[in-house]
Amino acid sequence: MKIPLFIGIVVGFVLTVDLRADELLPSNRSIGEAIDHYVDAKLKKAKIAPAPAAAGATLVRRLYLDLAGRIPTAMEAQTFINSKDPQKRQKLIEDLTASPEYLRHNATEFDVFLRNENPDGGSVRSYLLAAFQENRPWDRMFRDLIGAGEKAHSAKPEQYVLKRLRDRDVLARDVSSVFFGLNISCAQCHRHPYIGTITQHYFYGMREFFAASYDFKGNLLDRKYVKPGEFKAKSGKMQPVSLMFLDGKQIERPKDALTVADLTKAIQEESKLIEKLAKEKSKELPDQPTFRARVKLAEIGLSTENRDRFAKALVNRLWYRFYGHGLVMRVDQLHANNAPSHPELLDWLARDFIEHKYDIKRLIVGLVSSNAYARTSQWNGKSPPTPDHFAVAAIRPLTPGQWGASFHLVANPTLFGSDKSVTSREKVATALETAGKGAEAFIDYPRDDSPISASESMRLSNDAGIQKSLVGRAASLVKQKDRKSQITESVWIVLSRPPTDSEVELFDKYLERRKDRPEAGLHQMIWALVNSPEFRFNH
Amino acid sequence: MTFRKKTCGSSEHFVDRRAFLGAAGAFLGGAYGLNAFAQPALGQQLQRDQKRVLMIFLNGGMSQYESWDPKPGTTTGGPFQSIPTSIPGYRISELMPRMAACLHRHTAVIRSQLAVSDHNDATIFGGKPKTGPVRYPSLGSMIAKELASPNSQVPHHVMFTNYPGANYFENAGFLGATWNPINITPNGSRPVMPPFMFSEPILRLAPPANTLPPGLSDADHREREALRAELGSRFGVGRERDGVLLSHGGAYGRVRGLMESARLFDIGQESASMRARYGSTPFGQQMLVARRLIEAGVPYVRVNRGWWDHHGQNFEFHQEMVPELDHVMSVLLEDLQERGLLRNTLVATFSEMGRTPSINDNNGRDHFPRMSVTLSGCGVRPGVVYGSTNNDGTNIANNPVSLQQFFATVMRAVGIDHQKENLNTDGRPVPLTDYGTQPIAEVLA
Repeated sequence: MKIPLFIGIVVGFVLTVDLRADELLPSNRSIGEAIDHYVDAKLKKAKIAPAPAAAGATLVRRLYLDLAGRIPTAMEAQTFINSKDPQKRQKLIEDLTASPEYLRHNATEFDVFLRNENPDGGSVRSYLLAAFQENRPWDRMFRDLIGAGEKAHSAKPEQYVLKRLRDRDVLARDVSSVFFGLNISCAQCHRHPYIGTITQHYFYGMREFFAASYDFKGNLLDRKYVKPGEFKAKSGKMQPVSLMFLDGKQIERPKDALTVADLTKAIQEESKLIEKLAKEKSKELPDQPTFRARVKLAEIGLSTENRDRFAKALVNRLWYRFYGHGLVMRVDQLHANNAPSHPELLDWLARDFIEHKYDIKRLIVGLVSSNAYARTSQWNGKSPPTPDHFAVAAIRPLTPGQWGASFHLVANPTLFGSDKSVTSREKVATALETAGKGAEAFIDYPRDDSPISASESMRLSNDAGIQKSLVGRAASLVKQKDRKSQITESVWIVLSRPPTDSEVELFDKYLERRKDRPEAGLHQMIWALVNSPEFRFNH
Repeated sequence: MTFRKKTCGSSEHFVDRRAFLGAAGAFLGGAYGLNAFAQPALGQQLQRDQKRVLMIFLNGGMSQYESWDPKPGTTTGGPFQSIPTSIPGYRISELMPRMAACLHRHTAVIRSQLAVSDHNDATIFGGKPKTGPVRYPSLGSMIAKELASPNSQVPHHVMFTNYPGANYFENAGFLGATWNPINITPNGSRPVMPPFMFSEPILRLAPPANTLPPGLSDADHREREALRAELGSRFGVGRERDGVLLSHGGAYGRVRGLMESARLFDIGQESASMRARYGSTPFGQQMLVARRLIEAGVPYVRVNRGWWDHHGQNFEFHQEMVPELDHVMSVLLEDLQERGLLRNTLVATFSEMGRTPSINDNNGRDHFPRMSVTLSGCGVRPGVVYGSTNNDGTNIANNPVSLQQFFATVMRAVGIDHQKENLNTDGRPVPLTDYGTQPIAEVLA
């Protein structure tokens, strides 16, 4: 959608004043419109003409990778490209977000995000699959994951906390970083280097929300009595801590837990009771306190004053996933001294997310519906603008899941049969998921600007298994009527587009030199396509 | 100001590595890296002058009592006696006769090394938390980055492990995957954590996929890559801004070079007598391959030996494992010395922790955050015994050495400025070791 010039000018003007939520673009606009409104305004102000829209073939590949976690088949790509329906993009987005592959891919992505690179973090993927299946709102998922849900969930999301109880410092870091976009762990040892007001109290205050949590026969429970927390300040002195959320407000503990005559004795007695019950076979659980700090954390984190931070943290993470660069960078440094590139847009998206009851699917559909998302990744001007302008599409390495599933698709000509039944689609989705999991052995999950490793290129170049897995495809290609159709089909299968004339010429020469062993030639050509950066990246 | 140590304490002529490479690069039109081995004189010069580190990592925590800091005759001492060493007045466990005889030649011992108290890799990350927004690099990755030659065709960083289990993998953190090690483990190339700690050692000497795949000729392998590279350069038009995209081409560009180095990992190139000298154990055989890599200029090689975590039967296990360490380590030092490599190679022994003074009911020793470590060769003042523990070894008597200090000492020994800053991804400078860290001057030549 084109933004009329006068809106651009008006926005350019208002940008200089501090916008409040009620001055934002009305909430009845679509997410895609709002994104383009604010991104275009900034581009206009910077006098940058964005890159043009990507070709249909590029867009359909991008959408499949982002939403279904794999490249499209040649047929799927061609159907989209050839369609004359003006609504074809929105229809494809709807179809893909309703597919079994979307559920799996989204669950994998959220599992990695939630794990926060914590090696002890474990997986909550089975919970995520169930949650995305019913499109569970993000605020409820937050409650589930920190063990503060209204009722128990059969997939045990509270494993998220249970697995982390061994190291509560890391637990505090993970919860703050993942759900509130602020990694406070520098405050574990010293004040935040950029924000002097983030003192050690912030870190230990967040940690206190989990001080009473414990694992009782696999159940996440709370003790009634706990020693008041303290930490060693940089000065070397011990400092008492209270429960304190990231907004800096301290929370009073209930009086009864503090005023008990002999706290040490009360703690010991509770410990004895827990040990005794733990040995018994009964399913009886120890008494739970009326005040549960994790429930309090959910209540405060989702309160009217703080939910904006909660919403922005996820909006920014998902923005990063689909646009390759966060509105706030880094994604775990959402704080006052680290301004977003598009503050009003982040405000608008967070407001929209809250107003629509933290509907993740709606947010994802919106994020991939903008013009900014659909630009080409090629920049033909002089110097490319910085990535925070979103003037040109990002070039994002595939995740192991995306790569593995896409490779599997290339290697197996008969994967998608004529059977379109639900069972059959589920089966294919599972096979793709397994292939994606397998690729984790040699494809790194992309992060920061981490380069592609030589162990990956070695493996893909020389591993016998990798070479063998492409034999079936070469055997199927060799049956094509002539060399031109072999080439055309190969490029469609691997790169989801037709070959250019010069590519046909290039491959034709390559195959000609191997005409005494055509199948080996095709195998090598497929290998070269699969190992080209055009396959390795979402571009 | 950049610090660069000019000598290794050796009387031999020394050429500043960078200065030398600069001159060589100009001489050969910058192509020396591709062909160093084809130019014997140059190759040898390069091999001699480039500094490297060979790290012997004793996973699980070797007992200092049964090795470098024995306390026989005390309640904590255990059953083994001590023997005199070639360093006057310094005694080590009777389980290490070979090292006892040659200790004065190349080695300094640090008996007061602070460690961690649990099996975790904080030790090779200098005690840095893995929880913060800075993804700190490990010791090996930092050193590899500093010592690697530009355009080198040999690997930068290699780690051997001879048993599955907790190996404390090195990680380059914010320095980037280029500086991650090539892991040679029983599980293939990927770190796999427990639960197989106590299973039998499995011997693996070479990284996976470093030879031609079956059924593909060398010529086709090269032409196939040229075709791939052509597709890559076409795709790169208009996308030059992206560093990760560029690194993709770079990773494929390294394949042939790494395949060339396959022969470095080929133990068959060593004589039967040399193999016998190192011993037939997986640790001995891997050490021999490690020596081959060091000789070819790989800047950082780490050989793990595990698993030392003997909460039970501590003495039986040490009786078996310490003599093996004594043998392999002394042969390695001898061999490096004979080849003229020791003056530019630092050999370190290190671990995550030591063992408790008290002997538990299972005749085991538990985790103790104090240990003894050694440094031999390049940049080390031989015959120094630094720091000491009290009579029964329950605490450090003087000169405790922090992990950061140990790192700084290792770096200074091979001429690295231990205060050099790298930029974190957020632009913040992060020094190799904490600001103000002092290397142990007494240990350095």
